[in-house]
Amino acid sequence: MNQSSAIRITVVVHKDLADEVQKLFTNLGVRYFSHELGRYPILKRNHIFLLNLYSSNQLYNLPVVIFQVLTDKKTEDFLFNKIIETADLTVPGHGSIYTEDISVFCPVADSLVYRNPIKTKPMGFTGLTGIFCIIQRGAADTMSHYILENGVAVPTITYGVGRGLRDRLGLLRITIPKEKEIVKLIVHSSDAEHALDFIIEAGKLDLPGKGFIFEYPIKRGLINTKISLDGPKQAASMEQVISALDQLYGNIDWRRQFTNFRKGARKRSYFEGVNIHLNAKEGSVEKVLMKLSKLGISGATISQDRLIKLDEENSLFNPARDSANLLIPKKMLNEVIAELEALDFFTEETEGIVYTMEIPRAFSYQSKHNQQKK
Amino acid sequence: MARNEKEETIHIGSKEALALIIPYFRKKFWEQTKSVVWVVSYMTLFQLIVLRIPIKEAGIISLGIFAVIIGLTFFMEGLYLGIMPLGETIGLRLPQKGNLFTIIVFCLFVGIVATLAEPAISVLKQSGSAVNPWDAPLLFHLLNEGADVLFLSIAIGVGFSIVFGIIRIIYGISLSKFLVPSLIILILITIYAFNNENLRLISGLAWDSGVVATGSLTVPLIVALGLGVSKASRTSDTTTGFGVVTLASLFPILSVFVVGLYFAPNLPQPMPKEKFFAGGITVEQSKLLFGEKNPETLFGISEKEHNSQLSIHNKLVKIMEGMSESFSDSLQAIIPLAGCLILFLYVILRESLPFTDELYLGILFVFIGLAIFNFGIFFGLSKLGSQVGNKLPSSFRSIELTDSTREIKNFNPKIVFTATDEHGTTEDFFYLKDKKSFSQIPFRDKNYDSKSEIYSYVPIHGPLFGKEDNLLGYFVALLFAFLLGYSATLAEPALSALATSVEEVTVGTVKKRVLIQAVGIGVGLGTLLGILKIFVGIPLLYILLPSYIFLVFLTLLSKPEFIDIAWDSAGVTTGPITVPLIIVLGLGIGNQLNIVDGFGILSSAAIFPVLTVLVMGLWMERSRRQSLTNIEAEEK
Repeated sequence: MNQSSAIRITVVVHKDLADEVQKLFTNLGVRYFSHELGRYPILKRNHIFLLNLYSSNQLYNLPVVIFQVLTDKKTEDFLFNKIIETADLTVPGHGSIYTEDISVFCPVADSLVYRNPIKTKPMGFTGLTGIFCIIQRGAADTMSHYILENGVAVPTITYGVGRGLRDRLGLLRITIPKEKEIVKLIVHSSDAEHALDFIIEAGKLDLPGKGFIFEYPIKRGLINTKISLDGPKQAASMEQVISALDQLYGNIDWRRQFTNFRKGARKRSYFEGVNIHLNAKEGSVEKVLMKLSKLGISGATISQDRLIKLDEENSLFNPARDSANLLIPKKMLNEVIAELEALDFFTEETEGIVYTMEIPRAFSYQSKHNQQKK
Repeated sequence: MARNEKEETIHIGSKEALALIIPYFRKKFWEQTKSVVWVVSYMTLFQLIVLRIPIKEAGIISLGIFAVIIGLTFFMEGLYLGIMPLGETIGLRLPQKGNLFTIIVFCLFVGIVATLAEPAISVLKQSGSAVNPWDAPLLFHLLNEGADVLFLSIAIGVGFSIVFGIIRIIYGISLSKFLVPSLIILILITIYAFNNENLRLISGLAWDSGVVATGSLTVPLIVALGLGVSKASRTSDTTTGFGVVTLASLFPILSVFVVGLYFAPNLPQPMPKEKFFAGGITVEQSKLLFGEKNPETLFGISEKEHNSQLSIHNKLVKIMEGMSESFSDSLQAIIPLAGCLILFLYVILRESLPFTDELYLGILFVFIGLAIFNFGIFFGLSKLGSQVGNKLPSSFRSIELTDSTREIKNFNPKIVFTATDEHGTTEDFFYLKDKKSFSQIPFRDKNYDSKSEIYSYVPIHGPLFGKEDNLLGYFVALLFAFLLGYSATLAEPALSALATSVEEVTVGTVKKRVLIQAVGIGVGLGTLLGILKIFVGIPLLYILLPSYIFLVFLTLLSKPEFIDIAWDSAGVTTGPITVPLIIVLGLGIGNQLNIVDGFGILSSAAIFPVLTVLVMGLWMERSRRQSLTNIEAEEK
């Protein structure tokens, strides 16, 4: 199996700017990238007095497009800067961008990675951590409200379909809703544990069946700061001030808001592992996951995105794709990859791509029995 | 997630299974109850409190409404489990595995099969009996003898629109390129029809049938198909996969007009009843209108139906008949459609779905749901609707409550008194003892049968607010129309399915609830205008023309994604719940005011949702721009 390490750049950009980013990719000759629709909620104050009594803040959801593109270490800075420049990501509300270290498994892994010899200075901040959280459909709005009101971060929400227990129930599975919401947010690393705690509390993730959360390391990034729709009352909006201070310091250490003294937070048992990201032709991921369950892997979230491949002559990949994220213990990685190969996941029939990243901390409700085993 | 146990199917005992099924069913049941409760309680309270007329057959109606809720519960779940995933999968694979010819044949076929299966379309046929052949011969012909030709033409219209809709998505052509020319053609035909008496009378039917053609079964299928195709297409970055329903509600209008144009030369012009029976039509024309039946026997004597006199046994038999009929109807609708889809998936596309058991269960649910739902519509909602609809005019003029006719036995004409007024005209009346009070009832000769000594007493009701034809009464009727349109839309299953897809595709930026509200307000406004059309006697053209011109203007201002959604919601609004209620309302008022056709309300009810959704889109667009840049705020 061809394995190569690469950098994954994720750009979350306001839908109106998505065309610009896509044009940039075309101009630069980025041959493979995927995009997915999502939304980011912001607070909107009610200006009608009576509605104000009902709730002073309501959420307003803005459409975003999430691009993912693979590149190598040498090109990372160049592409990163180009995207920031094109979409003006330093302006609050335009979007976020971040990069991660990943390993790609695919027969044509090398051709997926974008390379360009031009060198530029690195931009963006280091010391960030991403949080990935899967909850029941409909629960994200309440959670976002807490997150925004407390200024933790600006979440990005996408839709997905959960798998796991329900698929082992036979036809009775229809009684358990499979629709999930995926909430992703980026915080400062020193805040990560507290933010994790905060979200677990806000989403009641320590109760059974409520959801699943993990954090993932981010190499560098530039994050959206816009949390409210209201126009500026001063010369600059609070978001612009925050964004300017970020630039001034060159990091977001100053925004650290949780002290290291934990107040009353329960001791939670976290676990670690590797996140496998499967991407294949729509409809095929589900079948593969069903077969994988005999290795003891259950529970994955499938979301749908579109893969764009720009050179038309060799149009190997189908645009409609399924992506699945599943977390496995690190020692099982090779076994799973081998199994995927045996299941013909990488053939032209399914057009599979796999990449993995390390997960230092993950959490979900676990029964007493399972906790003792860890 | 990361557990290292060997996992297999869990075996679940019947007790645990019930513990899973009951909350699941309860949740789905409540969802549907919440959507239906508004329209039902609204109509009931209106009749009881505003009009103050008791509801007849309340028992059967309650049973029917319960059946509507149960039916909807099964039907919607079946749609989500079976029909929609099936449609989406076929849509995904169709452009990859099929060539253009296969796509065209498939779309045409599915359109025709799905439309002929559509339950709402039979409502049109039912309303045919309310039309008099001498008033509108062409309309009468199309709804009675020519009904099969009419339905087939509607179905072919839907088939072609699916072909165009799918091709549009595959090649990424914007909806307005199809929308504007077809609207121009339709408006031109309507203007042409306006000058021909016969054709003018079918223009209401034509515009309405476009709306009726896309119902609860067709729409979710078409929407799913469109979404599937758009996912797999390379050029569909600007289109969202919606918009096929729109075309499906425009093309049938054209095909009905074409059928009308074809038959028009062979049919007589509208004429008075006396002339009609006195040889005003030729033998061929009579054959076209009535087939082998004799027109005199059909319209000579009208038989009175005595619903109240039915025995309990007869009632039960009627209910059982209705139930078995709706089951066989549902079977006729589902089997060809599902069979054709499944065959196509397995035989031509050679694809399989990961969860086939879910799919079959979904189709079974749709079948059960549709059967119970149809039964409930017929015995519950339709009955309630027609009661309220027929009595609504009592808010502004006095009407006879024919369904609460009472027979007074051993009536002695000697008790009739004569009263006079200031002009000296006299009127006969008698005293009626009703429980413990005595009231004066006008005496009509024609209601008294001297042989059996029975006087049939038809209670008269209204007007609600003082004088005949008072403005306040009209206002109440209009307000009723608005609220009826609004609350009926909330219960519409096809809209619910569309809104779910919209929320899914836009990842929650356009919320289901918001879209349904916007459409509901639109339908309400449209119904109001439709009723106004009947009151004031505005020709349909005068409503359609300005509205569509305004809509085209708004469409040019809007973003493609909202255009598709907005125009689709027009086709979706009118399904099995709104159509019977609104048509009955229109026909009821039309009857009281002696207006030939009560059609046209549906088409005006279908314009305004486009308007409200486009306005909602523009408003959301404003907030979106505000989020991106604050330049505009600074400019102010």
